[in-house]
Amino acid sequence: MRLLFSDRLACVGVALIVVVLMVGLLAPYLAPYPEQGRGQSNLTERFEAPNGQHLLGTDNYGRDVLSRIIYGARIPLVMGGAVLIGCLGVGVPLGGVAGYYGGRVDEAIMRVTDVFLAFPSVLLAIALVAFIGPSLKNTAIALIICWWPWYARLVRGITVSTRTRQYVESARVSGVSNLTVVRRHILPATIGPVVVSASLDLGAVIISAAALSFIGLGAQPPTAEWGLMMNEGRPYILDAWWIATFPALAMFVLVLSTNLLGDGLRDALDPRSIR
Amino acid sequence: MKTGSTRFLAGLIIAVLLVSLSVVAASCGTEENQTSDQGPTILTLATVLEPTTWDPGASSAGGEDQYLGNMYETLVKTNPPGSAEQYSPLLATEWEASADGLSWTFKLREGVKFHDGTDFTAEAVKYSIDRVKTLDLGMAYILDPIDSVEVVDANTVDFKLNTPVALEPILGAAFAVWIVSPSTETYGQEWFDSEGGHECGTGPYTLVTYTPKEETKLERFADYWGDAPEGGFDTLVYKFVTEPQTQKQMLEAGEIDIALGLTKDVAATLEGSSDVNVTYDATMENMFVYLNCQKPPLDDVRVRQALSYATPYEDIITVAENGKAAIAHGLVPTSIWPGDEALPTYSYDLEKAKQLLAEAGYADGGLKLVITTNSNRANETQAATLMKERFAEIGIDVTVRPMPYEQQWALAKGKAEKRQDMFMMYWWPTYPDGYDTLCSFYDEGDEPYYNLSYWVNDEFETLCEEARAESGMDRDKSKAMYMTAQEMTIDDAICIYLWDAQSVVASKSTIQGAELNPAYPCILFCNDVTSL
Repeated sequence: MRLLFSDRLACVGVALIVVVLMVGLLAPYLAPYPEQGRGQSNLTERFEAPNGQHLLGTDNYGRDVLSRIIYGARIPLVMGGAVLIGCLGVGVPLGGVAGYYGGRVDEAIMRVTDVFLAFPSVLLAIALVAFIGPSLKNTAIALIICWWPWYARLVRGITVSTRTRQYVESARVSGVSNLTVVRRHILPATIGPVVVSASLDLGAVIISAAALSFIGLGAQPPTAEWGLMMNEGRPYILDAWWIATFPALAMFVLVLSTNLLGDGLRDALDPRSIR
Repeated sequence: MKTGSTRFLAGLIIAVLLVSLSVVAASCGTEENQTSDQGPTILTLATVLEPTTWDPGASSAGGEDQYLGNMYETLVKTNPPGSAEQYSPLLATEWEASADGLSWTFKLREGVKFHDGTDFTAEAVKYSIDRVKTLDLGMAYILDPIDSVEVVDANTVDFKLNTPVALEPILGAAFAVWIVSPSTETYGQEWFDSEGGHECGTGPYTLVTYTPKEETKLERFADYWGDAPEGGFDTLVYKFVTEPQTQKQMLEAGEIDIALGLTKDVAATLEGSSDVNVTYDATMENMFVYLNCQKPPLDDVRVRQALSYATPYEDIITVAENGKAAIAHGLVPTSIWPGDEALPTYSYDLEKAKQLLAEAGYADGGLKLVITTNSNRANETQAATLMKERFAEIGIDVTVRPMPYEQQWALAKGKAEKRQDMFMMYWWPTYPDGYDTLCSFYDEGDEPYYNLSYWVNDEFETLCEEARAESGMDRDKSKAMYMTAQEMTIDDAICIYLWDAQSVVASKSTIQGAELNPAYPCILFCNDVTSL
């Protein structure tokens, strides 16, 4: 932890993520036009350029873009968190079982992950969402289905190498139960790499979810979601540039900060990087 | 870590620089179009529509129709509403109907040649009509009233009908009635679509090359019977450009002369420019929402009427069509017979909507409805989003489901209990006669085709058939019957009638005649286009 906070860029990342979280939580109080943030149209003020009333302008329904971005801040981190938790929930136990027991179980589980990894992940997610129907919940489900095999592999690799360590072997032969071995020796070894990997993936998950919304398979109108807002503003990009540009900037800042945090965590948790 | 992030920042800066450089380079690279005083004159158009077939007998989509209309011709041409004559001669020079309306004699134009040099004769008319009736593809059904085509002499044909309908709107349609050379019979049907497309019509242009998703090139037919206008174009190049914004940029940069695929809001940003003309025209197209008359709660007419009152028509036109559309008066656009502005419309009135819902037993709302829209048409989703917003105020929770059109179509024909409650439909008739739309709402039992409101009304069907049988003889009497029939569809609120559409074409200000005829919504007749 101390190491992490001595890394200035990582601190910036954490701070920005906290800011986005707070903005999302306090959206009804922060948004200048909360009802427009929730989607109500305001047709008398369509396509207004940024001005005193609407700091970031208005969109084609006359809605305040700033309010929409503030409400949109609720989605990406929740989405990213939910998808990663889901991936860990599926990937860690399966990877652990595969690595710990080996043999046929290992083969079976790893071949299943191979099947999933054979597809380009976003393409598979698109196919899944198109099949089960577009919505935020289904986007999360599709992304979990695409992403869990990476964690299963990672955890399996660590488990295999840890299991064959002498201190684990000796614990086992001296009669310590499987559960205890896993809890005391294997799990602690996996936590570091898994956390780093998850934090590095957070940005990618957020972008994938927004990409699905952008192509109409994720959040549905009138939800304020940054990817959807970018798509809604796309036809007007040359004339009303603010509609798509500001959500894109918000997305850029958020993903950059998750990457800074991920880099920082990796450096802090990887013993080899200590200089 | 440190070096890593420095490298990242440097990369970012380089990327930004590269992008801005390429933008500058792109805007410098566009030069004025190549129109020289010598050599062929070229008209470059941008379209969003791809042809689905080059066979004029199988065609049913605008993608090919935009080309077919320049390569083939019909016997009569339908004029835009408001013209002195509703129909003018094209390949036929004059025609008349028998007293009982069951036999129509057409005198054909002489000295007309097909693109392969074959003479245009009565045989060609018989061949073309018979061919479509035999193939029974695409829009062949519009020929149902025609029993047979009889060759009287080389330049005269008789159409024998089974119902005394008005024949001009059918023979002046944009589909199924293109006259094709009988010489193509030997090549078989596949010939039309083989090797990038073939054609053999009498029209002013011939097909040169077609590269899917890229470009189609047409050239003036030297032996065309009609006049080539002064300032007309020798070569037409259609570029396939899906993005309206890109079409706009190409037009501004002078890379294209005419943009056919602009959306209303993009077109609006071109208005007022001295280099570009933007033309809006009435069309025969309209937008409505099928209401599922069989599935509760929409099986109750009061709920359907409530939805019709809770729809913010003017706001929808503002957002979805940028104000460039007319309020709809029922199923048939007012631009075609027997559509009429005198027909009643619903207007936005939430109080009335609430009252109707209360009468139907839904005073507290609590209804959940699903509306499907075509995900390729952003304006459908925009309209649905506004409806969702207003319906929420009368306690109706709407789920908007944008999906590919085919999926929407399949859902509406699938198991009755899984069908959507509302289906947004962009509609155009095959030929300029309201019957074509109205008869689509006949009861089709368990296998509906276009009656996706699943409405059943025998009285309506009888009335429409009677009106149609009268249409070739007494227009006024026929219209009065059609008016009653249309009122039934409005009173019963079988659809929410959103708007009568307008088309938009943007062209360089040096181009004249880039206007669409509502009867041929997808066709820009390029022989009428000239440069100043």
